[in-house]
Amino acid sequence: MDLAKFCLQMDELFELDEGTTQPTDELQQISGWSSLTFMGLIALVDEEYGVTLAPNAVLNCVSIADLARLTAGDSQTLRRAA
Amino acid sequence: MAATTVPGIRCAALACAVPSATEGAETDGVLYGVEAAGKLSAATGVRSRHVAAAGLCTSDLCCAAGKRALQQAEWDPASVDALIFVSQTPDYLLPATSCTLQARLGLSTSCAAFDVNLGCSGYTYGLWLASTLLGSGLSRVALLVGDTVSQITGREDRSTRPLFGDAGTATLLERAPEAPPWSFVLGTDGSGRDHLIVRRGLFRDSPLNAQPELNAEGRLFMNGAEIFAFTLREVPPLVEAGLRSANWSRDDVDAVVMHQANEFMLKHLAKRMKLPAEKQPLSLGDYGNTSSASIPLTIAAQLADRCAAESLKLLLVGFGVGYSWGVAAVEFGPLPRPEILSLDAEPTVASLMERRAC
Repeated sequence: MDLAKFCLQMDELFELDEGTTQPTDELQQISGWSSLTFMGLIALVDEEYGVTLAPNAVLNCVSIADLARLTAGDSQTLRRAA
Repeated sequence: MAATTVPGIRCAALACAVPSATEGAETDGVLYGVEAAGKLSAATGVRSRHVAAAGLCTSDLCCAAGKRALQQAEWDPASVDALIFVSQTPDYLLPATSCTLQARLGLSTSCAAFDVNLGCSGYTYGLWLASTLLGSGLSRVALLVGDTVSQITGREDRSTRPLFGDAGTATLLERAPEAPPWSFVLGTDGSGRDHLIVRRGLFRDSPLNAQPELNAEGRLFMNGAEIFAFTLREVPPLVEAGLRSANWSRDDVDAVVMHQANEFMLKHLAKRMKLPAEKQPLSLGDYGNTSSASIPLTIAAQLADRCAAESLKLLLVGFGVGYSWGVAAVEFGPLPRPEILSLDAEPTVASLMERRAC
């Protein structure tokens, strides 16, 4: 998982200037977070990483770094989200 | 998944009806603000949808569609052996709306009639039920499918109101020994019930406490992210199962008609399944998500000329509330050109008579 690339993808998804999103940013505090961008996030990860995220697990991610770990299949994040 | 193949069935006619009144950018802009309304429309693909005024029920739309379909097929109403009404917005707690429609359509009293409570997957289930009834010896079945979901959405709820439209449809099916077999694959996962639900109104909550107009629990709730994740999980393998059950290749299929959930979701699914856009007709731009009516409405809106001229191999894919899903591999056509009628908000004479009778 290339975390920098992942952050750039979040910039694009949330219509932010390139370089805005940081790994420590809180996911649900990102400007533009909504039910629509939530679906966009699931679609992006499905398309780019071949992973269908469980929405509940996404909501249990605090930071963008947590989300990246979930996407990469990090077992610790998955356990915490379960 | 439950898979069946039924030989010797044909579609004799298909007709739809929608309310004449519409909602769209203008009305949504007033409710949610112009910018938010624009974003919602861009995300869902719904530019406008037909919305029933008070007094216009799903049964009224299905009745109008049913009468037109009977005319088109030139069927004597007395020749219909069974009527199936698939909806989650029936007229009454009881009796079954199918019973009232039997009378309104002038069908014989020897006609079997029953309701099926399903939404997004309802058309595929209805076709399966009708086909198995025909396979068991009946000659003609009227399948009436539709919903008026606008009646159970809160006007201020931007997660549901801008998405759903109202429609009623009628599909007439009959035995035809020379017709190719139709295949069905169906499934259910009730653990998803909480993600698309109207909690209040029947017996899980006491009907004595039900005041839907006062309580959010009486309105439609939708967890869009969970529904999307469900479709990503279930729909691609469902499409593959449908193709396998019919022994069709992707090239054999003329169109994959999906439940019109929302455009973003459908386009993503098409990309995931490598389905070319020309094989995935869409109708929700003009009609919204019309629940169980969306598949026949899409056929009438996008494939009417082709259905009238030739036999089309169609993969019909229903999925959603329940969770429930089904795929039907069918051949429609040539048949009388499917039409979409527009019904005024005013109650029809038939519905007024129906109300007086009750």
